[in-house]
Amino acid sequence: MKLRLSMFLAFMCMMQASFAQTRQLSGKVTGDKNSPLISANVIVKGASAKALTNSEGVFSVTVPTGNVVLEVSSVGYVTKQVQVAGNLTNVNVSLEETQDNSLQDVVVTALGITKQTRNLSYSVTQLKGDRFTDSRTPNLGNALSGKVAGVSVTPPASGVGGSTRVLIRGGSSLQGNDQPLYVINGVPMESGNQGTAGLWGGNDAGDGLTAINPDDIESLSVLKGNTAAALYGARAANGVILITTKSGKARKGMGISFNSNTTMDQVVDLYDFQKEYGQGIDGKLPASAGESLEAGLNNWGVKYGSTTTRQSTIQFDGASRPYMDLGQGVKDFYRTAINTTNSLAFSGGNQNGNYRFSVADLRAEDIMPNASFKRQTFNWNVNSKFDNFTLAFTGQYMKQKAKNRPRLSDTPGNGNFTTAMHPEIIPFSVIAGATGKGDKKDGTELGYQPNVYATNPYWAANSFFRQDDIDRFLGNVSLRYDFTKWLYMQGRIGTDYNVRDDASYTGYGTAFSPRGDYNQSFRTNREDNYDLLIGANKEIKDFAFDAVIGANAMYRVAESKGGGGGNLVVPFLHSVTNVAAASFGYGFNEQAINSYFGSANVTYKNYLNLSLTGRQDEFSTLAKGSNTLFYPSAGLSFVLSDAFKLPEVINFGKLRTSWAQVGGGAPNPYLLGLTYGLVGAGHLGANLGQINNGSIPNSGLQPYTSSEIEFGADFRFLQNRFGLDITYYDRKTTNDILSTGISATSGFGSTIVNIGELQNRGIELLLNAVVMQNKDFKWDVSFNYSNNISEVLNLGTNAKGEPIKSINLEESRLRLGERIQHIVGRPLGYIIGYKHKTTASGMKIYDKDGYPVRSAAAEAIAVGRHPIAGGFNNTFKYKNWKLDMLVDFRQGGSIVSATNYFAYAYGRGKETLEGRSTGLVVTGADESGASKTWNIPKENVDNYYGRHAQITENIVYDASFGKLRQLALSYALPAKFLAKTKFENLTFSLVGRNLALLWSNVPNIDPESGYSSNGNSQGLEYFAMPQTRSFGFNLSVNF
Amino acid sequence: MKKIVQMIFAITTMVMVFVSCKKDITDLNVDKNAATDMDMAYLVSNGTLRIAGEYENTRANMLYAATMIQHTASTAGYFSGDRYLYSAQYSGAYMERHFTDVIRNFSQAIDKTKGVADLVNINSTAVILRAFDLHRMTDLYGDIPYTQAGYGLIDGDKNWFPKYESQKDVYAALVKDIKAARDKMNASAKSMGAQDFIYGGDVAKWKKFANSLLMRIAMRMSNVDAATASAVYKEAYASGAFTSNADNGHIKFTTGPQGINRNGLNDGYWNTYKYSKDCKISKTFINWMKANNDPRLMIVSGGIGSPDLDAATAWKTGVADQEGMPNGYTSANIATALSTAKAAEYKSFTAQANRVFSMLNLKYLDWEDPYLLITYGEVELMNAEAALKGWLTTSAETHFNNGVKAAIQNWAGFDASFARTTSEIDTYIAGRGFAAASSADKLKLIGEEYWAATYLNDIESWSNWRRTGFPVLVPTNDPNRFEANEIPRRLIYWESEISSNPANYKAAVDRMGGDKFMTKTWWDGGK
Repeated sequence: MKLRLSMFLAFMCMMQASFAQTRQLSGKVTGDKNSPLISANVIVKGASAKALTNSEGVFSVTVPTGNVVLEVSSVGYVTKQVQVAGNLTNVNVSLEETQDNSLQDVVVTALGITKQTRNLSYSVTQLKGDRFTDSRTPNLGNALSGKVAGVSVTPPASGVGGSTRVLIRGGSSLQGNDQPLYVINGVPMESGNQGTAGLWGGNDAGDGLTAINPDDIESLSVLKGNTAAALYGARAANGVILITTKSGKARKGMGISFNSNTTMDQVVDLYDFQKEYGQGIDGKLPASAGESLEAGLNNWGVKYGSTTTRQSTIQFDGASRPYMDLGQGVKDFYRTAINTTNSLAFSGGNQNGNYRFSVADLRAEDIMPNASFKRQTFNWNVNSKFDNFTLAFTGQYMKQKAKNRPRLSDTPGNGNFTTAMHPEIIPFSVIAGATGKGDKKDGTELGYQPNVYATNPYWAANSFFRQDDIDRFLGNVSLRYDFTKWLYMQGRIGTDYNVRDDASYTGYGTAFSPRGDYNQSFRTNREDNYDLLIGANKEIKDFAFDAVIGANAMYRVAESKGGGGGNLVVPFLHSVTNVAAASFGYGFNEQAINSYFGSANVTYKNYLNLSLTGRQDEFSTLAKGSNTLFYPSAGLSFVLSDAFKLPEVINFGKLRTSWAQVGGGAPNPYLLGLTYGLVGAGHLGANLGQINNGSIPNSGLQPYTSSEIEFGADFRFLQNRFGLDITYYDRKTTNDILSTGISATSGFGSTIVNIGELQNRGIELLLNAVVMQNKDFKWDVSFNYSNNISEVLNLGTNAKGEPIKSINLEESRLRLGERIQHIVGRPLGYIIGYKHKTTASGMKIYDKDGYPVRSAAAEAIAVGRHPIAGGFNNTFKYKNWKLDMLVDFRQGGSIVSATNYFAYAYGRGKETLEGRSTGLVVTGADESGASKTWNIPKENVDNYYGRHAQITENIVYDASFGKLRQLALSYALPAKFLAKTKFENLTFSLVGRNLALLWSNVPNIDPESGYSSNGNSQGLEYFAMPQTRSFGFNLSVNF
Repeated sequence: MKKIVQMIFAITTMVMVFVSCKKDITDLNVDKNAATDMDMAYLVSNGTLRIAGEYENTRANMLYAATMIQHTASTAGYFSGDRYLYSAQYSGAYMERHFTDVIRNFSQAIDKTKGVADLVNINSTAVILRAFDLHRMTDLYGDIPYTQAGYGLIDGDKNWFPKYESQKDVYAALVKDIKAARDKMNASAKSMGAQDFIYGGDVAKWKKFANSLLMRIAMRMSNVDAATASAVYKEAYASGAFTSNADNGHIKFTTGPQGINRNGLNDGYWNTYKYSKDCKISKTFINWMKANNDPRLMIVSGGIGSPDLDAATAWKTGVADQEGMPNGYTSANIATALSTAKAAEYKSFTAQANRVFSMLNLKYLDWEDPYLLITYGEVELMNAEAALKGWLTTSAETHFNNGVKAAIQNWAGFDASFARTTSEIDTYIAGRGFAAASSADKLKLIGEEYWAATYLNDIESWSNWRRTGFPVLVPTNDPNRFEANEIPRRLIYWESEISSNPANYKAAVDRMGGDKFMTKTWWDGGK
């Protein structure tokens, strides 16, 4: 008490010394709907005095006599400058909520510290919570699509509850995992992908982002550059996304808000296949059940007749049916999926604390029959103050159940393949089988084509069971102690704990696995974070200082237990206890990072700002001696408009620059040394041993480093009606930790090395404009654009000292030589494959039969990732109506389309019609280079097109697209109607997502049809879920 | 005062959290569930079982070799060898899997036991089995990495991109390594014991195996380097090869619990994947057995019928009923190659129409059936040829008779019902007319019997056919064949090597003169 008093006295003395002539000014700051704003900043311009509002929004500040200007700011609101006449002692200020990205003024930055954007030396974009609730998706990541310059969101087409790929500034790493770090209320969360489909199929097991209920988000900040993220150290190399959940506000009584959202997802049929020739091989009509079965998915049959000349054929099941295009499509297999989300929140508070509690329930069906995703979330946020302590407790418990996540990529169990390629003469109702589950009378899979690995779609939907149940707790407790007004200390303990139970079976009677299998596993993952912070803010004359020092300890542990096996004993009993020979698996790993960090910020006259940060990380996963890394950053910003007198038209102008070095990719545990393990249960009483490492271990690994320099400018014109924010960055990543392919003849397919140098350069542009504004109408436009030019600068050298020119990433299941590579001198993630072999003069070469000849080796064809991404948002407000429209576009990347490969191979593509009735005339060069013309007989055109599609470049398409991503029309009931009710407000909206594919160059598929969120497979398409559009309505009530 | 207490309380609480975690965090990086060292015999055991891995055996052996050599036939397109189609995945499968699954286990065990006197038997077993598998590999593809193969862990990054050695050099190295390993084996050193799934650690039998393998290697190069071939053969013969079926080199399998415990070839043919629903005994093989009254006919063939659709009683199991499937057809055109009646029967079936042909006998397709590496029957048939060549002074006829007899009797090891009486066997042998045949016909008879004896071990069957040209096979004729309507002379390399080991791959292809099915390898008259 004594100390505090003396410090207060000292402070008062200082104030006295500075300003001899003062007066006291008090007032109230309110925001949306006249609610009081707590902790709003009130700054007296031209003086060092400032104050914070209390829990009722009331402030009191000492100001000089005479007219003063107050600058009032609060997170999520537009900063306002208010002239206060010298005779006033009380002033009320109401702030307007910011549009996100736009001319907002206070943002949440690293470690949860709020800063004024005007003083930031790097680029941060903050989105408000309502940006995720308008038109929601189960995965929060998808809601970011098109909204932030420099952030590219790719939702793989993997069904409801699938993962999302969020890439900031092109990613810093050559590895597959280049996703940002997510931090909730200051505590990192495990957001990683739990598994995706790959070369051999599988399904998307979801990621951590589905755990977040959008109704609970107060704001989301994207820290794009290294400087912004440097305080998070190693884990921030790919950027950081900070999520702050809602807290209660001081108010009378308890506030209740309720939100209900219902949407319908419908499949969009993009398949534009030929409708002239039906099932068959070599231009013949299948004449028997055997021939129909053999012809299977091939449409190299004969021309459909007209109603008068139509033929009938015996189909695979021996039944005779008309040989005609039945006009079926994906809509005949997939269903309309209904998704509902209901959430309810209670909140309240007073000057000693506040609380908010929410509960939400999401039930989503997938368009894939029998697949669904459910989630319940419980969120709480309690703050209480006693004396100088502030105790905060925020947490979330989430329960999630995903059922039958669809199989993608390779065909076993992948109903998307057989649906897309379904022979048009066979009714879907016939292959639905005896009970509609794709079964025969004996309960086994109904096959209608010869390849047992191409599963009947109804069987795939009903007999490939998969369920994951997740229980997850995320939470933290923090205790803050304010020594004085300018010095505080805070400790925090946070945990992210989740338990996942996975069960899956392949049904008994599956054609390729007649006795099926059953597997079950339990996994627990926990990450604990402990941190301690000491922070200070102080102003001395024209200088304002703030500084933080702190330490963090992170510990992560994962454990898995599983059992199961193949060959069910009792037919059709799907249970883990019914496998012929069960096996057991166990996995465990743990790792830790200890860190120390500090930051310091100096502002001169509120227009020149210098900030410095540093962090030291110590990793458990690297060898002692090379397991620490220091990450520095420095930034400078200069508000021109305050320092100089600028032309009238410019209200605000700022220049900024920063430099930082971060790092990452301290590898997974246990990668440094060779280990051995046992295989299975041994053999004939003896033991089987193996080398555990799939990759050659490397004890000399170091963390990689990424350094970035950034320049930016922020200008606002014409009374803030136009805003322009532009950023240029240049980031270089060196010593990347890579699993690099070596020759498998060495015994190992890869090794882990520190090699590589990668550059990402780009610009980010944000334009805001209030196009029209009058009393009742306002039209806001926001446009964001980013162009990230990545280049692989070097990949190290091989054993002989020769430079390595490329490293292999994912291969397509076509396995015809097409895959993704990082190639020196080219952008990240290049598609390679075969080209059509040509003569020196460029003439295409054909073999002696007239079939296309591919190039001698796979060559670089096109980049698989889009360099350009952007969004165009329009908001129209008229009285209580609001219309929000978002167009999202991507430009410059390409895709290898397996759908189009099979469209050629099976004779489904319209391109394969040429030559069917008369034969095909091909002109080109023969293998000696001489010009020649071939006449390919009509029964061999299938071979011609088959060879054509085996040349990769013929199935690579420019995947640029534009989509009408989101449209929301809302109506808020006017206050005068509500006045007599208990409602504070009531808003009703009609919402739509993915309503239209505005432009695209890829035939038959959605250009966003990737099957995996892993960075290594971007640019590969292989029968993921078809595109959907969704629309529905949203009701939001507060009382 | 209260504030000070509060402050002290706050600081202590917060700081205490950090005090507890000040131990060395790199201690966490020790995997508590893995060993840093292990008995290398365990790796040899694992490598042994993986020789019979499902993925590559079904692809290289079943889909390619067995159909090319016309033991089996299929109308299904994925049986690529039937009509000489190219599937990069199937052609490359053996290479794709064996360097990582098999060779690296042996190479690591060899390196870790090198020079340790007591571990010489583990070392030698690993050397011999590594040689066995790489010998198969070179016969399948031609030039291969040998010296550096599977040694990625040794010598830093020196072996990350192994050099392909010419087949001639590989053969020289094989001979050298096998001999050295054989000579070092020592019954008084530690035994592999139960960790050896071939001979239970019996050193004497391993020496016989080494010699039998040397004889196979020697015989293979007989057309291109007769001098070396004869010298290697004679030395191995003198050192002692198999003398009865009890010596046969085969891997013992069981029913599970996991894939690794099972005969992978049979896992593909029948037990798990049921590929034998899509392939039948070849007409070439059935007709040959019928023409010679071979007592193996109803061993090889399980009869005519569908295991799914026909009751056991409805199966046709008479010798006269057996009919093989002609190689080279699709289900759309196979009827054109059949008699009118057979074609009508074929067309009458709506499902599994291929059931009109003799099916593989499920009795030798069990998970626990042996996986054959080298048999006494083959050794005796090689001896018969060696005698004809003048390498041996023993009687070619005796060797021939022993070889045929052993090959037939070996079937009893698969199923008791496969036992054939001595008189049945003798009658069959007499019917072959070896004694009276011309020298040229003798070679033909040996080649045919070797072909029959290596049914199921079709990689070996195909290699021997390429060397001898026996039995005389008529290639199939399909317009969609990949290169030519000729039985391929090798498989095309695993495609991944083109990009992951480009310089060495290119050097090998340049040396061999191509990477095609019809590119001849060194012992086949190529480069």
